[in-house]
Amino acid sequence: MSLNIAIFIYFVSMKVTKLKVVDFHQFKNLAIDLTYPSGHPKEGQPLEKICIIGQSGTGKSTLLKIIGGHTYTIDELFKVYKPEEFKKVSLSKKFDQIEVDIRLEVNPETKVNNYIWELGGIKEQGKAISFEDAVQKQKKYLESLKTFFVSFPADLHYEFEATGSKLSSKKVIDFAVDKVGDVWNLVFEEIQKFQEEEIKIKQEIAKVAVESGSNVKAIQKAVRKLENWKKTAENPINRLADECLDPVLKHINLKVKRDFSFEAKSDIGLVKLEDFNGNDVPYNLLSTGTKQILLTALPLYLLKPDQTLILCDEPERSLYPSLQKFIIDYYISLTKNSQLFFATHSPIVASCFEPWEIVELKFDEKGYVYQEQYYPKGMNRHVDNYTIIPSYLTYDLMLSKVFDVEETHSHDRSEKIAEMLMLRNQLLKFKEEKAIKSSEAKKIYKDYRNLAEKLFWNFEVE
Amino acid sequence: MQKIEKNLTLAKAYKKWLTGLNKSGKDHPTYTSNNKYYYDIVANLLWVQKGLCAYTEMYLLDSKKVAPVKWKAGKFQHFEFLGHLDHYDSSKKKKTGWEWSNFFVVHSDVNVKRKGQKKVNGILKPDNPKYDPFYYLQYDFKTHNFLPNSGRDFELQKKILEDINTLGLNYQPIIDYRRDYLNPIVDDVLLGVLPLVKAKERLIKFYTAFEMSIKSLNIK
Repeated sequence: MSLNIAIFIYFVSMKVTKLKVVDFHQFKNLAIDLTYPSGHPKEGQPLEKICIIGQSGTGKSTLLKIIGGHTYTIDELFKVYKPEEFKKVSLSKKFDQIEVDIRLEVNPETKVNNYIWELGGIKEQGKAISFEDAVQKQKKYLESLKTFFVSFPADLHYEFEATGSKLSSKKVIDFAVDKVGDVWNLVFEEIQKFQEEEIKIKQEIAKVAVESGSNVKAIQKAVRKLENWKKTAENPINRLADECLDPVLKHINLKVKRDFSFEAKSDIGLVKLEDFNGNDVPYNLLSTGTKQILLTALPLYLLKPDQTLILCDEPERSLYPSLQKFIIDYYISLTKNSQLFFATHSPIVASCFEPWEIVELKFDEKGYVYQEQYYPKGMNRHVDNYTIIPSYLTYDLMLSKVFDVEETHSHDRSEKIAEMLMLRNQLLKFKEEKAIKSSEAKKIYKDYRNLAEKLFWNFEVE
Repeated sequence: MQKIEKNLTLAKAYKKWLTGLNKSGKDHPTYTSNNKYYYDIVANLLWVQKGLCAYTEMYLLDSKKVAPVKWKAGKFQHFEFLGHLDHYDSSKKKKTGWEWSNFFVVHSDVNVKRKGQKKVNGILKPDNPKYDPFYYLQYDFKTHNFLPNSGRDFELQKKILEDINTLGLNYQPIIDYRRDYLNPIVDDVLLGVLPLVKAKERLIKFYTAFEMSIKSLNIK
């Protein structure tokens, strides 16, 4: 039993607890549990962060788009797929303690997307409640939220142009269409106010100096006012630097330029960066990776997402491995009570997640996509039953055990390891024959050490 | 790499055809998997190879599936199998491409990614009457690499190592499979929770590496 109700953007405000795709292209009978498993202190609650991995073509981005719901992202899907194809796709979502099963229906004539609440599927703390009660509670809940949804597509535009759109008043922000540059508006007014205040106090000092040049006490008083103001007033640029950008920029030897003048909005454009020697680094000279960080970190910091559903496709783009390791916890630190979905190809990014937070998509023999579970078949989804725990693995093991990469090093390395071991065995033979100091042994020893060094061989001496 | 007693006792129709072919003194017909004896050769080989890759001892199929009782009039029906039919000496493929002594069934990665058309020294040929794995090889249990037996002359060791590499014995994914398979079994034996006899019964692959490991770890 279901009720047809157009809830539009409200749909995306809620955390996802389950994704069910009965039949949709490569997905068949796919049911993904997105709650904490049994045995976890947050058992049954929606996961706070999720990492979707899988071969190209398994549908990572498609799943993100489906989860994205009524946004530009899903409109993209409608360009490719027929509306009726979505009938067998459903999501369970949660807000406060209320859980609802939702599926998408598209009116083929009007092209309007409706979300169908399955009436039997509305529950509060596990108990069924009426649709009307749930709608009322959802309304209240939504009123308390600022931003419901933020999406960073894989093809994020690196231009930092602003359109003047007020992102602070938008509930759904999808950077496939919204301009990242507009987030600067959120902090610009604050910076401008700060500057105006500084100029005002400086003008007062000048006025005192002109009008009562011989009155040193009056001038000192005016200067003290400026000093006191500086002590108490918070420079928004400093805050932005300390709380958001500098912790990540230090990994790439950059920092926010803190002391520069803003006279007009056009002077600001974007937060200015400098290297550790104080040289300005203009935006157009920033690396793609640095732009990527700015374009994702700034919106998250300035929008201050709380209870927000956040999608991020390929967060590792153009980032050096050490930064990939850092970036997930960093993004999460900029949010509050939110649910973040990442789709990635990076074993380094995936290693930042608990096993129950990873959704690994794989093709079965018939070409359908299924979710690889990290606990043995027939066992319960309990924290103790997981056998693949990313944080326990080396990156080699992440590649082989999680990403199914068979060769984690080259043939050359394999062959050279065997050669080195052969040389070592030969040296042991020389030792047995008391010929370890012979010229032949010395030559082999030199070759052995040379090879071992190049292989970065970990000598385990017993 | 186990020693293989390569008896051609099952694929009788192929044997007859091959005998005639060799008697004629002409070049063999072009080698192709469409040949009507192809699956007879593969099934006979898998039986004598105990269902394992001839070089790496990777598991390919339950050898009961190709047991003598499954044959009819010296023929075996078309069947699915993991692996490739390899010409040990690829230079013989053109003129004597159907020679029984040159065939082995091997793991597909070994054929495609390691051996290919590479020339072998011929020292490690599993059906050679003089081949003895313990004479030519030793096993490094720490790294799970096959190495030349250090008791052999150093120049011979170098050639053995070339063949080890060409035949894919130390192909990295296979080392990983071998390690993942053998370590828990050997550890159980070392801990005394699994008697050696039972451990041997449990094995379905990597027999040579296991035997050499037991020997090098001095387990009795």
